[in-house]
Amino acid sequence: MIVAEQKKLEEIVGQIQDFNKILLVGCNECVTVCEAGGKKEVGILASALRMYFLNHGKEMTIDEVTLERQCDHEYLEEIRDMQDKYDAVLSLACGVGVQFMAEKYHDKPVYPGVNTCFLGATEERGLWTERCQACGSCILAYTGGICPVSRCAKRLMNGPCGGSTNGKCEISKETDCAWQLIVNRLKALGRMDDYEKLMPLKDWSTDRAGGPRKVVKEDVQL
Amino acid sequence: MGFREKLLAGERVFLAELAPPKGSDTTVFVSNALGVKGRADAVLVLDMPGAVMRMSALGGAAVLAAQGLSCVMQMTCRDRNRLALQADLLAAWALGVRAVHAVKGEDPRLGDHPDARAVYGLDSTGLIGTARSLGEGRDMAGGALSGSPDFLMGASVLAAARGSALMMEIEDMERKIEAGARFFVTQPVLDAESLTAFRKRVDPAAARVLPRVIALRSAAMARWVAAHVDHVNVPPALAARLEEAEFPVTEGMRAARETLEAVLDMGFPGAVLGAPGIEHRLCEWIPE
Repeated sequence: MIVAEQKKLEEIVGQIQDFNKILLVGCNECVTVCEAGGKKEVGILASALRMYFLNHGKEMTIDEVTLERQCDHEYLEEIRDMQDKYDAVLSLACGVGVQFMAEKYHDKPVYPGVNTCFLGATEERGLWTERCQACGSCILAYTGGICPVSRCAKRLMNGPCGGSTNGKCEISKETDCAWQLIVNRLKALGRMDDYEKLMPLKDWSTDRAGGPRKVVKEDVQL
Repeated sequence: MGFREKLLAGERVFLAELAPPKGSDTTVFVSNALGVKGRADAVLVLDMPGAVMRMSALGGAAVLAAQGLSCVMQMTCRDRNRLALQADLLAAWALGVRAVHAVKGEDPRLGDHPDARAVYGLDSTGLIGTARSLGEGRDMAGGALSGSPDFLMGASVLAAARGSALMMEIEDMERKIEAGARFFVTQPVLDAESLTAFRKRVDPAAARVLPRVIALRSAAMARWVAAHVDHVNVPPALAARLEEAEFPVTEGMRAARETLEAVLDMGFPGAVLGAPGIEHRLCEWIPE
């Protein structure tokens, strides 16, 4: 899923303080799971903002709505009539949702309420960690299902660097060395022969570095 | 007077653009550079133009500086993070480079290594500001330097842009000037008319804008540029002229010389002169 975390209240206030009527829009997908922008977080943030503006003597209407998804035309349409009544939209969706909202409601100022962080998993309640950088050419088949692109600080493709110590990365003693994890996993799978093979040079043209990407599946297109 | 002194004094300046070799043999590169010595005020050493892998501009400029040639080192942001950009600026100064043309750089997809990962650790405006910080004795992290470079910094401008795109280019120029840009180089120019709209809005002498006037070597090249290079107007008359010419290379240089005279008449304070693929003949059409 896409992992996000809510922006600090002061930053959000700075974005919307010149308006009088704000529609605060949550999203029921990824940001709900990572507890950054779901219905619950919309409620809490709306209360915090109301209290802030009340304390600062500014009249401000903050209304709430949470959509099934903000990265989908169908669900964004649900607020077409509603959004007209507001000066601006504050979206708690990931960057995709914020942009899709801005594209759909071209004349409406749309502000992000979260920072979109990475593609990750819930390790435990309140802890999300990165697992994928969407590089566009997956090599997990050769690395025991552990990704050196997203989990090695240097994105190394052929084993650990000299900074790997006791299974930890040189950037932090709390960060596992991805290649130690890969070796451990390959050993467990009895596939250490894979580790001996030289990995072909990584094709980065499918990565973000090649510009904005798209996926087309013609057989499902209307 | 050198390039910097002449440029800042408002005198006419000419740069000759050369790409370093694709390989480690610098013989032809040096020979072409020596060929323009005394005519061009400096050599603009290109930094992997078109995202095609070649010897670095830093290496090329150092080779020419060792030959006593004045260089403007082009520096693309595409291939380096901010550590490497700063490090190469310091190295360039130590090796005798005194002017830098900061560019963003084309995407690797457009070159011969489309699987390469672009970096863009800074944009070109950021790079210009960084050079200024280095000149003030501090790196980007605030660390003190022992010896600081005093580069003459230049930037690019898409002077053939039209309408709102042109206004955005001019605003971008202002930002770059604020960051420390002291001169500008345009996109390749094949006809002076493409600069008319820009000329109406910008005083090219005050902003020190140098049109990049290119000599085409054949009609096939004209067709290729028309089909593949954005923002470059290839006049149909030029393509026809090259098609009909008995000696297209000579004709291409003659046309470039005419374009050069036209842009100088328009008030541009000099030019960058290029002849891709026929660099050994570049000296033939640089004004004495």
